[in-house]
Amino acid sequence: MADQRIVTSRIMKGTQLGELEELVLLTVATLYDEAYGVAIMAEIESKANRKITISTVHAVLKRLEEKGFLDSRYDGATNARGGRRKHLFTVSTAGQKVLNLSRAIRNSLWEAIPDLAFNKGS
Amino acid sequence: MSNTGKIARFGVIRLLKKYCDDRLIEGICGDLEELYEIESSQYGSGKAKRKLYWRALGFYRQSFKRKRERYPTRFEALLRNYVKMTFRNGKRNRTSAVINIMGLTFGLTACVFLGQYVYTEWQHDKHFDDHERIYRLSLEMEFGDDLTSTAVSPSGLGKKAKEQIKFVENYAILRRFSNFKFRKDNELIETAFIFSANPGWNEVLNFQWLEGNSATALVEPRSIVLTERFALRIFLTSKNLLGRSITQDNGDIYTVTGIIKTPPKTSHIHPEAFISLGNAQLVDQMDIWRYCTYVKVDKRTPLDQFESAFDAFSLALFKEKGGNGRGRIFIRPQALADIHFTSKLAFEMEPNDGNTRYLTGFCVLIVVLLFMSVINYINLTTAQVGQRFKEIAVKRTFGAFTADLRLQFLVETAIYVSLSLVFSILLVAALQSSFESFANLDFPWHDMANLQSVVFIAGSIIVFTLLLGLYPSLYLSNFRPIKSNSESLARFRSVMLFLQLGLSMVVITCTTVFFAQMNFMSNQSLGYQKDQVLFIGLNQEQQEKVYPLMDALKTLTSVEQVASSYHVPGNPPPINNFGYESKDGSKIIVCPQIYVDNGFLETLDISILAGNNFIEHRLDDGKKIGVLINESFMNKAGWTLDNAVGQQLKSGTSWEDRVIGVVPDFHFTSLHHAIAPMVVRPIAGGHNLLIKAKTTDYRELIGDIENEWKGMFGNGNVDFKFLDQHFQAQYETDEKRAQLFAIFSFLIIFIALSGLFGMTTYAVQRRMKEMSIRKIHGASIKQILFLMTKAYGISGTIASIVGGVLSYILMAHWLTDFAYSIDLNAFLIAMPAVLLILLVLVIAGAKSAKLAFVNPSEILRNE
Repeated sequence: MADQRIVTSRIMKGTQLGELEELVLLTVATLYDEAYGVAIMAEIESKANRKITISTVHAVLKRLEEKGFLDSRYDGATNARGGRRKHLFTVSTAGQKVLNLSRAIRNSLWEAIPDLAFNKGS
Repeated sequence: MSNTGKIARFGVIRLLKKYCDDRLIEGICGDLEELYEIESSQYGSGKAKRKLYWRALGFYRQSFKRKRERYPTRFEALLRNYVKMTFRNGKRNRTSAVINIMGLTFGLTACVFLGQYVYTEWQHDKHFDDHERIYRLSLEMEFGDDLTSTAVSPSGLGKKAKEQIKFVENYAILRRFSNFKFRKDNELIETAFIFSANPGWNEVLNFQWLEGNSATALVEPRSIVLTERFALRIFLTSKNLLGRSITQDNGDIYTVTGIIKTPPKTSHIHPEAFISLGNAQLVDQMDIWRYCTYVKVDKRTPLDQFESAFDAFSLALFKEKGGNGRGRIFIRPQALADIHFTSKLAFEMEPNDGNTRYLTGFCVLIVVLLFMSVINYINLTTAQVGQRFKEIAVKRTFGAFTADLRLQFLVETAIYVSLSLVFSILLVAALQSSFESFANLDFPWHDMANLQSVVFIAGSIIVFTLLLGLYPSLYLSNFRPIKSNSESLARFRSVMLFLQLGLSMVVITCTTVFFAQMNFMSNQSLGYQKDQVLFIGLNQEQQEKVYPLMDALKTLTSVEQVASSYHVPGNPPPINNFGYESKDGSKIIVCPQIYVDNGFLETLDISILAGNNFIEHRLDDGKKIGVLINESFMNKAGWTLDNAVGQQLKSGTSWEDRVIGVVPDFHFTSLHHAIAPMVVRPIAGGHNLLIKAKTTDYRELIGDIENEWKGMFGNGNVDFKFLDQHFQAQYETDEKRAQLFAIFSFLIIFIALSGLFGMTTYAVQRRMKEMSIRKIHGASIKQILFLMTKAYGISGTIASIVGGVLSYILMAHWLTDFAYSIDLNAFLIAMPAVLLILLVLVIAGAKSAKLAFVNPSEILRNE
């Protein structure tokens, strides 16, 4: 626990993850090396059953890249894209850290839930 | 690359390419293309295109926006820097920033209000078309050795002038009736401003007609033209009223022949309605002297020419002797727009309370107010020189041109001015309605919405900015990094401060004298007791029963005395001429006369110096009873208390009036007027009842009177007023002006003192180390305070002396306006002076106290 507090304090203010940001970040991680706008949108729609517009995806990606959680490059032009390359994203080390942190916080909170709270009456 | 593909030709994509960041656009367009491909195979190209458009619109957001690559121009960068520096310096010197903005805001706001007041005053009667060609013909008559000027003239004068003087285009005659009452169902509507006019009056004094024909409206007798407001009062509507009738309380029926727009307040007449002449022949008669005559002259005639023409016309008309003891009669044309300000003649239709002297006073206040905030700004800005020294020096070292520095200070000033302007616009908006009701004016905002006033406002902002900013900008920009010229600056500032304090002194003194005079006028003994006296205006029905009414009232336990009169103190009495025989032949005194009954003197506590009061009489008209005269009359006629009683007066009537008594002088109207000779005549009947109460508990009295009214007239609607309040109402305009004056004077002093506060703040900052070292060497708190406040004390003292002398001269001149005025004594000048010096010392001392009490090591430890 003490460790986590130190880590938390090291992350600058304004670099916390929003809910949608976390979702996109995780999706980018799952898509590994094939993470670009349309693919991410489709993945979120199928996995999380959530419709978001392509422009929102791009906006979140840009924000995450500015925060340093994502790296990006251009590659893989196809005909379907009118010969344009894909803007591909990968999770950076910082991104990985922040995902781990968020997961650890959640886990610790889950563990701290008393049994009685969710198992009332049983 | 991104120019290929199917979607590149769509407008929305082309625009998007211009909008979006270059680094992102390829990925975005690629994704859009991919989705378009999928959708066009799914739904067909039409729907896919629609979806594409919606999707593309989503990309117009701030985070995708292409960052500007262009560098700002030098000027842009400088401007941005100026704005930034202004706010930084403002933050650092919060005191001076607040004082500056507050001073400017108050100054501007006050100017807007004062400007409105002055403007509205100047607008008097200017709403009449061709007002500069309209003149009122007042008369100046020789009466014995006196000249009497009257606003009224014979009713036939206008028509004769039109016929005989070639440049007189048209004429109008007006007479005001101040006590008409009209019936509305069972109610009586009282009016004070019904004007009787000749049929062609609208050719001279034109009004805006909503209904009816202006040329024929007043041709028929018993016609009435209503103003919109009056129509609403009587009929609750102002539409479709032509042909309706109105009944006067005496039974006369008037037919509505026109509706005019309610004329603005800014006029010397405030008509509620116009009625036709009682007798159409009036325009030819020369023996009814109750009408004011207005003429409109043609465009070209120069002033001197028509004055001589009027002289010749008058001589031909009235001859050398005007009859009834009059001598020569001169016609004195008054320009329409001047009447409100200058005309204080006998028989004015309404009192003209305009006063150019007050207007000048208010204009001076505007200038002084602005001057104060300008000085504050200049002083506080240049006082910052010590702090801004580094900023200026650094800028200079990096190659800033003098012009740049100048511009910087001007921009700074412009920012301050515009901020203050915004604040004062908010203030004006918040206070406008209460100001309008206080000053009793309707400011014509809709007249202001034109190019001229926009240019005026923009121009005054620029001029104001230059006025404020030019000196600091020239001075500070000349500031050399190495050589300092702060000494001459300091001298300049102390001169400015001296000016401010001197002006404050003048303002404080003037306000003090002003209020002392107001107070004096309200408390001056009038020669009779106006407290505990009620008066009741009687209508036709009540006037017929005046004697039973008086008898009944006299029996009430709460009533001490009852009198009936025609004239009530506070209302100007009419003027008559009285002839008498003296050693040097027959002489004439022109003076006011009042009609009262035998109870009047007792009700108002006026004694009799010689002779007797009137005898009680009710049946005859009292002609043979004789008259009372006041002391002034006696003295002017050269009589004494021993021989005055028994003298005969001749006043144009067929009988002679015997003087039966002498009363002391008393003020029938406000103290603006000097005591003049006066004749008191006995009245038969009465229009007003004066009731002296036994106690100050008026509830019982009023209840008793209302009971009497119910018994006699079936209703308890008694129209009573308190005499002292009624009398005081004469000073209302004076009081309003005094209050306005006081408010703005307070503002002026406030601005000046806040400037002083700001200056001491800087002085304290500047001399912190000096004073700390002095303290270490053994200076006491008293000595430190003395050192810090000495300069301001001396400046304040000299300013008080100079300002005191100046205001003495000013006020001595002003007091000559009043027939009865206070003596300007040393106390009235000394008190404001002491107050000012004390204020200066307290303000300078309060800031300096910080220096005197602080531990010197706190300040010096970093050296």
